[in-house]
Amino acid sequence: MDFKSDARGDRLVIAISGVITFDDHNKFRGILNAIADSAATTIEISLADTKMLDSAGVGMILLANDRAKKADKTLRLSGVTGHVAKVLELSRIAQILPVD
Amino acid sequence: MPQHNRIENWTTDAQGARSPFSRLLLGTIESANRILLDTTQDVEDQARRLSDLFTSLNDGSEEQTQRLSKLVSQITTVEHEGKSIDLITLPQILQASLSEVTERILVLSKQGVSLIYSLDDILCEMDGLGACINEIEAINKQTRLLSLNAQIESARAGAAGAGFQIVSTEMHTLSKRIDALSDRMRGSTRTVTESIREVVGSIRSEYRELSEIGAMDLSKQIDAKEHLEVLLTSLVERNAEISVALSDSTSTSRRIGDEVREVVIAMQFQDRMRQRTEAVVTALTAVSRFLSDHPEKISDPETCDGLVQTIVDSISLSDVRRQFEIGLRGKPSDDAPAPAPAPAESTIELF
Repeated sequence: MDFKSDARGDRLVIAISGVITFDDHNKFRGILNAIADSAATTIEISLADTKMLDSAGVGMILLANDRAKKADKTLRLSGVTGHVAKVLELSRIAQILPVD
Repeated sequence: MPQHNRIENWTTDAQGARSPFSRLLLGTIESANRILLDTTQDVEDQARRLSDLFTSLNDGSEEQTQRLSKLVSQITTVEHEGKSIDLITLPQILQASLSEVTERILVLSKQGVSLIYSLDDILCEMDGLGACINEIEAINKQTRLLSLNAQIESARAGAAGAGFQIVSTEMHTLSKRIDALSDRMRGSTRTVTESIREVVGSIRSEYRELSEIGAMDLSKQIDAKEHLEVLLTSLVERNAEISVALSDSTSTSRRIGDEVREVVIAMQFQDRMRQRTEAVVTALTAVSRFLSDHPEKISDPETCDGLVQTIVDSISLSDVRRQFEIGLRGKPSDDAPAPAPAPAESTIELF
């Protein structure tokens, strides 16, 4: 997993590429820190280049959402397709946070 | 009157006995009567039999529809713990269970990662604690050296340094206790750190094992969900087809029932035919009896008028009576009050 964060005004876009599994939890801390440190009120995690994520990956996204909420920020997911879309649909994550 | 004489000659000879024509006429009328009665009975028997068959056919059709409905009901439901469960809801129940299991996996995954983060943080803090202990030990080492120097200097000072000797000795004692405390802290820190690393290692190992059996990537759950959706769609389609077929069958059965009822009603012609035939037989019997009993009076207008009245009165069916009146009197008795409905007409037997 790799990620790039890009501040766009009041919005922070974090683009994750590759696969998100339990083994990436250390790297994912960078995303959590980026969310906590950003002044943006809206966080967008783009999964357009994410090939796959497992249940730990979904768990980490839920942690990111918790972190954003704690800081009075809104987190949303974008670019959801393929296997990622199926996993997120099965997880019913759309009931917890906005998914585009 | 010559005309009357001629008619009398048809039926009686000079001695008043029946003429051959009279016997022929009587025989013909009686034979016709018997044939008519037999035919009526035959038609009635056959009509009743047909009616019974059609009624049985209708009952059979209705039973068949009920059996089909019951069968459809039985194949679309299953019994579980005394409750009837519609098969169509089974995939939904399974999907709900699957979602529940998936949610639990996600909660556990989230908590697992969260726990790892917390333990990593604690490990960082433990590292910091270790550094603090190192610093305490370094300071304590300096303190101990200082106390030793103080002891040496106080010994050189002799009696003047006796008090300082006591203080430096106490400092040395304190330094030793700090060393001991520091050792205990280091030991505890090491134990805690090892325990945490063991827990973290265990969690990572669990995740790895779960990943190896495919429990983490949710692919099996996705496959199961897709299969359940296909199953649900198939069941819904099949249910719709069964409903249509059952509806068609019910409509057909209803139509058959309606048609059979119409047939049964149409067969009531037999009852009217029987009543008409009986009227004709009654009239012919009256004529036959008259010819048999009073052949000498066939030319007597009053007697014949009485016979006509007897015949007309014996007929209960109004249309038949009307025909006889036209035939016997030349016109129907329109001036007469309309006859009350004949009992036979009002009690037409419905099969």
